[in-house]
Amino acid sequence: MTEGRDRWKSRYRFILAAVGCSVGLGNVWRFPYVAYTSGGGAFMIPYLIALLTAGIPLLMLEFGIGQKSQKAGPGAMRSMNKSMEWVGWWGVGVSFVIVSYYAVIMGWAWDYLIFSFRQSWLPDAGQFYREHFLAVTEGPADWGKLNIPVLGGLVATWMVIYWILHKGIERVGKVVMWSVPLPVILLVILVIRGVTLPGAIDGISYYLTPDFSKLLDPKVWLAAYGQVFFSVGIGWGIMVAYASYRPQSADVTNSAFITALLDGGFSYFAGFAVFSTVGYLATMQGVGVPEAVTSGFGLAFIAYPTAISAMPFLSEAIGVIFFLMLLTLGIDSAFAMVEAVVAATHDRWNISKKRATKIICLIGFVFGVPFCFAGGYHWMDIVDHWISAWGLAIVGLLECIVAGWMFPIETLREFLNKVSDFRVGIWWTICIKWVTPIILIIMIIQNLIGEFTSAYGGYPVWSLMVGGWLVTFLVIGISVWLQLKTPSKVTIQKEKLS
Amino acid sequence: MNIAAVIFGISTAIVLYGGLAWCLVIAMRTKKDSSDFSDS
Repeated sequence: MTEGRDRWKSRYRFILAAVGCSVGLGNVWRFPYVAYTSGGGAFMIPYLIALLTAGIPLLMLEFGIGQKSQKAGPGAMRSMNKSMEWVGWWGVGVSFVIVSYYAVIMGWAWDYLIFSFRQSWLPDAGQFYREHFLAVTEGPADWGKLNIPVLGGLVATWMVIYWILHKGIERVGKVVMWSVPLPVILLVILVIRGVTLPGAIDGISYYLTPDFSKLLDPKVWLAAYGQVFFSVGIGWGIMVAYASYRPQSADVTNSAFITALLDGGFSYFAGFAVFSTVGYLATMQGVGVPEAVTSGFGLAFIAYPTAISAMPFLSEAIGVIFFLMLLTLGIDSAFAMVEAVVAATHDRWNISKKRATKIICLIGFVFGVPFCFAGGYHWMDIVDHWISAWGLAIVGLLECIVAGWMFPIETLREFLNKVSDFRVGIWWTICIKWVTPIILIIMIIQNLIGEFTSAYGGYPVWSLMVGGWLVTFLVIGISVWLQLKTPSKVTIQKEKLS
Repeated sequence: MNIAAVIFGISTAIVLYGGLAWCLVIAMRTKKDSSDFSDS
């Protein structure tokens, strides 16, 4: 069954592709803010511990099962336990839902790249973003008009994704050779520009100054695990699919370490660009850094453009560099999510990857169109909250349960040790069987309590039911249905994984 | 900038980038996979 399967041309390309998937928009607009609000420099302690006990072990698991089974997510899960294929489909479904709105956010970045030439957001970037660019409606019940510039950006994003994927993994390997190093170079330029601005040191000081009292707060530890879990890209089915294009004898453990450390290293470095610029913004506005700091869309589309426009020189160029960096960061993650779906579809129905890519890209685009309406912003927020809080966390937990408790995990550890640059000890098994599941269960319970104590974002309950629970249950339902429709013959016997 | 921020900043960089450099050196030196780093 492995004959004719695409292959990475080198380990270098595989690692670049995995890093490209891990490093995305969240590394720039989420990590620095989480670090700052969770103890500054002291946050690095729980973060590094979370990386070692959850991020890297799970990456090894996903690389290992993908490489050994030579199958994408669902097939790999089936190879561990034939009744658990649906868990793999769930991960693939989560990837598909995420990419449907992630591509819209990239559409915004396309538009802002064009705006940055003339700094169209002046004089007030916040007002421009909310009232002119998105023209966000009052609530999810009001869809408003279709936003043509955003739709144009969505079309551009899907065209790029299709262009990259339709020639198979060989083109992906070529693309990541520049699309992964390029944002790093652009980030270096932004850091250099940022640290030379007045007030930059104050911003960086806020980012790095340790507050050890925060280490006693369990929420900080959960934030560290949450950051690692969502940033490294585990549970989406992508890493399994990418690893399935490697020969079975290729290294696993060292590749996982390199991928996770590059992801963490990029996040940490991005903090310098963000906080130096926020420090400058605070100085210009005559406020303290805590008042100026923000995250997410607010950072990328309001705070950063405001700071860029206030820069004494090269402001247009810095704007172009910033949004180009967001685009190159996002595109690797976006096509990786689509590839996870394409690979699973190809494995399941044995249709050509070119055809699968065409179908998935088309469906993904259609699913993204509702998010291009003025009211789509609310739906994006709701769906993102649910899919992050429930979809990813639960699929990660199930993955650990299947690998740790429903499969002889020691045989997988033996496999990792046989093929890899360095061996992993019993600590890896303990992390998969105990540490990561316990942390994920606590996170899920915490989310559950939050869900029932207050309506997320103040949205009406009906919209949360539709955008949250319905989407989540649809993904689970389709996953189980696909499991039931799969022919009973087991494609890969358990012995072959040992 | 206060001294604690500098110390934590440098320590984090050493752990992250030092660890990464160490892994890359192992990858390059591992006989089995060394050719794997150059495109075939």
